Amino acid sequence: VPPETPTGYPLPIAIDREGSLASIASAVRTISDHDNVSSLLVWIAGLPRDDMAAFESMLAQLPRPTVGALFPKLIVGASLLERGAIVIGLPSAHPPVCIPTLDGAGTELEAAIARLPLLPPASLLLVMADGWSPRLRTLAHAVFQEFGSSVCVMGGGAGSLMHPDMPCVFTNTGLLANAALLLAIPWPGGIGMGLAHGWRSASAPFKVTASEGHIVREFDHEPAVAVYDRVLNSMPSDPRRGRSLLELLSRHPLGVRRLDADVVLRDPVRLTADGQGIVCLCEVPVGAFVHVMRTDHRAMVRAARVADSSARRALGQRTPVARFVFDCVSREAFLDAGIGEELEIFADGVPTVGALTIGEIASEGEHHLEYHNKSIVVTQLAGESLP
Amino acid sequence: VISQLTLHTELLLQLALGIGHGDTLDEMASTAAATMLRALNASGVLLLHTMHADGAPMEDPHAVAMLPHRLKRHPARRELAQAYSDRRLAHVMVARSLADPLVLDAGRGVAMVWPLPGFGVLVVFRATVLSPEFLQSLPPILDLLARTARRYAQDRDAHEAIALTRLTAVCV
Repeated sequence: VPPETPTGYPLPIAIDREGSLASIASAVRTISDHDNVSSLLVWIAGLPRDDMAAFESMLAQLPRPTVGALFPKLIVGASLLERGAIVIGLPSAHPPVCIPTLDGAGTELEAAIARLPLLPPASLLLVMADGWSPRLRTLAHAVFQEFGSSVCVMGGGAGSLMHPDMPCVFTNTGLLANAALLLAIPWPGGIGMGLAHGWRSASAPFKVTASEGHIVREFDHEPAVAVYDRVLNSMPSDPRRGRSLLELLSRHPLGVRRLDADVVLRDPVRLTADGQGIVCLCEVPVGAFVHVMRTDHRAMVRAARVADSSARRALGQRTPVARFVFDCVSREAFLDAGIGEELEIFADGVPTVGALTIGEIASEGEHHLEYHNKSIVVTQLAGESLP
Repeated sequence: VISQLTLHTELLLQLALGIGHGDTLDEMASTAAATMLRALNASGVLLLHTMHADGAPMEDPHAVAMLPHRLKRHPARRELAQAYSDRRLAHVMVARSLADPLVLDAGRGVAMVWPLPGFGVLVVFRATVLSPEFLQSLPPILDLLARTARRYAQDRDAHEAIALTRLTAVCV
């Protein structure tokens, strides 16, 4: 099946709905051959693990510089693709920065990020990183230490839900795990960005009194799980109702408070081996104040609308010509069939592509750049199509 | 209200703990600025060394910490620099107290400027002005920053003086 090459997008784009190596290669070739394309951005979902070696061979042979990531699912308009690829031709992007390991100190990450050249203010800095790395908060902070709010930053955690150790970001030289790619795309027409999650507090704040990286050991000097359990027990409608512990953790994330801004969610993914601590997707520092959060379908869908309208509002009078969306994969798990309702807002005629992600990064105006979980990021691009 | 106070207390503690780390003035100032950037949910922090410990103005006021590293390109920083040169800012801030920051519209947000007695000036770029309740709690932290920065600067001067003396002795 030849790839779709929808019109109306401001950049050459091919969409492959099959997800085989041959069909991905065909989509890549279609865009590579396009006039004015100097490099490629490729997002893939559902690539079988057994195809990794062949995929790397394919990457090495590509005629143009290529970067991309493997995501749990892709978004095209208002629909989800479990298997497939989105190939975007970029006419002029600065050479991407690849951070091959995220284990280094924050200053090492900053040094790598500083390799990016000076960017015009209307630039989108796209961050694709291994979503299972517990260092994405440090990465977001390092990006902010370099650029601040001078550019719009949109980031998504890549990876597989089934195989957390699977390499998931790539360049022509191959696939990498525990790595990040930063790609700056100048966009003079204007960029608007919105982020929202839709969760609200279900508890008083607790202080994190013991944590190690992404493992929260204690709240207020008590085992974290005991406090978490107590909050669930105190909820007016029983949140347990036959749900597994994993479901409960996913439905009731932790919300870390910030000064003059909405809480940042931290996704608890499992308990520690001793059953006393909570393992989160990213670092939760000692001293942070956290709430146990709750939400419902309506609030989640409303949050997606808020993110989209914030992005639209940021454009002012300019007309959006395209939209990028990074939507946390855990929102799909929560909404289940209701994810269609959330994505429906992208059926408004503005060409939209994106991915379900494992953690999100997004500029929020003059606020400090944060790494988020369970959130949706919408970026709207305005102005003329690029040549 | 209590919930807000606990957050403020924690942030003040974080700010205090972020002051005084590093072997040199630049290292200490960078660590303090990075802590402020996060804890104050700010978009930029600038620490200017503008005066000697005795309060006399320096001939060459300069930044000892600037975050983000590309802050010079930030519209808010450019607007502030257009309105006030570093030297003029230092001069204006002499008349201010730690409890009375200068607040200026800058870029898409505000710039809040505090004097650091015997050292210089602190500029924090934010989306909005800090709440009055939080502002009331800040002076002891700013005083700690001023005293620490002053001590680091004096140590640096002392080290430079010792090095110069040794060099002179060798030459003679």
